[in-house]
Amino acid sequence: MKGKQDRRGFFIKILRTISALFAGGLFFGAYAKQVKSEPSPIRPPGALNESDFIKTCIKCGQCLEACPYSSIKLAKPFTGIAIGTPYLVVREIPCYMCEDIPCVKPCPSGALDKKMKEIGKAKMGLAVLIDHENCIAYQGLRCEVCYRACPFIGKAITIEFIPNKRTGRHALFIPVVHSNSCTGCGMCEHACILDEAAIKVLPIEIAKGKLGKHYRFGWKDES
Amino acid sequence: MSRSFIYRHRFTIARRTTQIAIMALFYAGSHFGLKILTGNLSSSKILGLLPMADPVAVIQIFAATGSIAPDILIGAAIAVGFYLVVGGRSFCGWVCPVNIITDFARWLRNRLGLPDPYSISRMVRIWFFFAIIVLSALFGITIFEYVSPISMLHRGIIYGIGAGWIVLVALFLFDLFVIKDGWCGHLCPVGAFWSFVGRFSLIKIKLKGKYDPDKLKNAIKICPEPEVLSPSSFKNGRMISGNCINCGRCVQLSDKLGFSFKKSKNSEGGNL
Repeated sequence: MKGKQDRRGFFIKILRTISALFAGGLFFGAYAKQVKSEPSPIRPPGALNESDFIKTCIKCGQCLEACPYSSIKLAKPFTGIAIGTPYLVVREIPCYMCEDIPCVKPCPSGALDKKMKEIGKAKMGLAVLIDHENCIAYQGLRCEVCYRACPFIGKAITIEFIPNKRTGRHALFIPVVHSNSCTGCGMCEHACILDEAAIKVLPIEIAKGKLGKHYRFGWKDES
Repeated sequence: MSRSFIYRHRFTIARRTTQIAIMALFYAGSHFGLKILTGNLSSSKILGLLPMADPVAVIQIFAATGSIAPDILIGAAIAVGFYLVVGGRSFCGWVCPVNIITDFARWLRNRLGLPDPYSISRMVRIWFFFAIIVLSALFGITIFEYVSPISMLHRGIIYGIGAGWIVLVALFLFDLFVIKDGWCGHLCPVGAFWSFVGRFSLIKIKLKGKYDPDKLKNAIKICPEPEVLSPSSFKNGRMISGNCINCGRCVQLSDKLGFSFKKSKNSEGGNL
């Protein structure tokens, strides 16, 4: 009789454990899905792509401690950014693109890739002049502050002249970002004179379109 | 019996000092440029040279990505080596800041005489530990690192906690009202990992003389892992269970009980 009781208790215990694991697994599964679907913030230079980054980063904060400008923050819980991972809010403090890239050096997990040797090759994001309605250059005023702030002035941001239809005799001095040179450092967004920046650094996957493979531009060199 | 308060709490005082000092050094490393300890308990550098890494986080990264960077692998190996000497779950008792919260809950629970009606197996943490490895591999994400109150707390202390305090209050209330020693004693997978290491570690509790249940009654009452003070946990007077957190509560309780910290099986010296 005692043996039967023991066996019953044993099975109940096992069932209880399985149920707890099942409930836990469900909770974690939902949470994992949530974490993976969160939009990518601006990551420090050399960061792996977002889906690899969030599973490789050990969340130790050593990149943040190495940053001389305190540009890097660690995500606090419940902020919509993968908890404990490093990110930048470039409107507040952009990446000043140190030549020796001190933030990548201490990374122990490889989430910031040490193959990143040249800061100019960083792809933290892509600046986009997103609000044409409020950008004063589009009103015909001279500004070009983002252009002047750009560390790759004339390459990552150029000024294009467009006829000013309102006056009929002037040009609009429009800043244009070129994705092959832009590192996403955010100095343009940081410098924008509006109350809310008209030029913003966006994660590359959000900023970039993709041309269908079947397009051929006859005037471009195909190589 | 009329020893001083400090003597009767010497290990508790030493533990709190270490726990607080470690977090203070991390904080100073981050904020004042004092580079004795940089990083946090997930991964750190001592004096800018010696890397350490949380093996549980490293295992999850391996499960999620299928590869592992040499720095954190070495760091985890050094951490395991270190705790093989000082006792696996010494991490829990002497380093982990969550221990301060759960010990406070335990103290308050005893003071208020709260009942402990629910019991769950202390084996849950072992299952939980293996579950997070499987789930990390399954979902391709370091699953526990995203919910770990341990990381939330040590990161929070160093870099600002944000809304993470809610989780820690919940943990405190859980330990206080729901299950006694609920987190550290039953659920925490990090503790489970260190208990594997603790089985083989050098510095352990030793019991001099015969095991006498009547004499040890009070020690068992204050032990956060009471099972480690059962007769089966001792072999020739030496603790063989890995679950002991080396907190020294039983040692400081009374000199007459015959508990002490000893290193290795045969050595008589090494009294801590």
